[in-house]
Amino acid sequence: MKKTSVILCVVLLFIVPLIGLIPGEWTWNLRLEATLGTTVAMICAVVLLNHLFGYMAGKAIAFQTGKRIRMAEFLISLPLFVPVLLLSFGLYLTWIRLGLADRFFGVLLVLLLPTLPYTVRLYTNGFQALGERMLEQMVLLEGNRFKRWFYLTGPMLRSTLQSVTLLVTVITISQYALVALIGGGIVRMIALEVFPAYSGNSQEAARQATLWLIGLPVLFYALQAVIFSSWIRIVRRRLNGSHDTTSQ
Amino acid sequence: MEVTIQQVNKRFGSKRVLSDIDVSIASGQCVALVGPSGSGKTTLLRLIAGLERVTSGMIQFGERDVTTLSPNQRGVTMMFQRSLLFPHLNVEQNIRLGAKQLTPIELESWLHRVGLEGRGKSAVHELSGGEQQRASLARALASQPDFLLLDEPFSSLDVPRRRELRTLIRKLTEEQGVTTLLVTHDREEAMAMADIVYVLEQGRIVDHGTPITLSQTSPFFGEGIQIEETWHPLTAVNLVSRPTKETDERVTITKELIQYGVRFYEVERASGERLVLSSDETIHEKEGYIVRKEG
Repeated sequence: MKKTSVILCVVLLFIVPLIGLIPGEWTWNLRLEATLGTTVAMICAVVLLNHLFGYMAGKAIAFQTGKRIRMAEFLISLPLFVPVLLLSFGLYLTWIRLGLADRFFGVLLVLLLPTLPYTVRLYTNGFQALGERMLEQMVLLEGNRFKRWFYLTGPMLRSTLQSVTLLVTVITISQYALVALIGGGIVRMIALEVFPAYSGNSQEAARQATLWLIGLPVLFYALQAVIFSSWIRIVRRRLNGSHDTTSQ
Repeated sequence: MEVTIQQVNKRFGSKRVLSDIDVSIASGQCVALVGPSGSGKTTLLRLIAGLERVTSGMIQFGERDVTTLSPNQRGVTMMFQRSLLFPHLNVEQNIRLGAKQLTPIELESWLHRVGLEGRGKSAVHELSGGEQQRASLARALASQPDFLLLDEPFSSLDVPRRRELRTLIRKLTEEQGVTTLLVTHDREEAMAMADIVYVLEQGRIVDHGTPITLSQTSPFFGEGIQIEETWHPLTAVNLVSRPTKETDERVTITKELIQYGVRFYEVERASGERLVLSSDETIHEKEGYIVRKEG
């Protein structure tokens, strides 16, 4: 009974609205193609930079103490307290001066503001859950940094990596105001298609754009789930068969 | 492998945590570092492992100066308070991490030695706390290390499991001739495991000696006891002693003492010389003898 109720709730809340979103016909044009291309490229770039900076900052915050680290943690967390949108006009003017407005790189940098604080927090929690001793055990067991990451650190941080990718994808893809302002309509992402479609009363276009908005994070999440499963399978196979390969 | 620590100092900022540490560990010996919390024993262990850098002083493994080498260049393995097995790998794969060249037969032999026969394919979470520590021990020793570092590896276990693991570690390290350093705040563990005990207080070594000597002289071990008054003469009916491979001399067990839960035997050699040997539970090889209580 309890299980049935849960299934019913899921169907009513998530599946039924999705069915209502299915458009009568799918349109594909060069503009949509370019928008999707930019969106996917932007997601990849923002996710990559978030992993890069978030990993380093999160690790430092998790294990180091001192005033400087606490200050850095506070500064990184600032965009969580001060809405980025409030700063957007100032940013826009600065970006114009720096020649970054209306450019892919300019939007990329701005998108780090609403995403990086969460990434750093997730990595900090991930490293704290892992613990310093575990990292030290990894160092003692595997000296080579790449191998250590491949065999141990990466798989052990799997849930953090997946959460960061999902969260950053969702935040990146749903930023309308920042992309519209800093991108100036030249850097077009899928959010720029969704909101005008809704306000323009074009139901078909709105449905299609919304499905892209939902589908892209799902696609990214599924893709990384496949990557992680394969990764861990390879690690296990190598450790099972490492004797065979070395004896050849 | 002989380990020498000479005049090692360590500061964290302006705070001095270790001062003029001199420790010498003979090849194959088990040395315990004991002391109250915050005395610097774990810091010293981490310096030896290469997880921290010394402020001054030298650490030598045999003839090799390892003071500035990275942890994996030192040939040490370490067991921590928790087993620190990797949950995405099964028991076998965890052990192989330490020694990727292990053949299936060698791997099976390690599982057998630590009492985990048939558990190689088990997931880490399927093992009990004691089993996880034994798997961790197999991982640490399978790579044939020169030096094994133990950072309070028994603290998360109950008393019977502690004694079991202690005996197992002593047995396997003696079999392999691995030099061992144990860090603990537990007197019983130090007494049971070590050939030599160093007492650390406020970052300085204040005492060192054999467990039985320190149990009588060091304030860390309490007020001490007078052997003559508390030792019970034994009929020796239920005790046997036999020589190890290194000696063909048979000794006579004359007295038994249980101190901090550890059994000690006073034995008499043919020459009339008397030695004190410790025996943790059932088997403990020391100074060429195995002393065992049977029945």
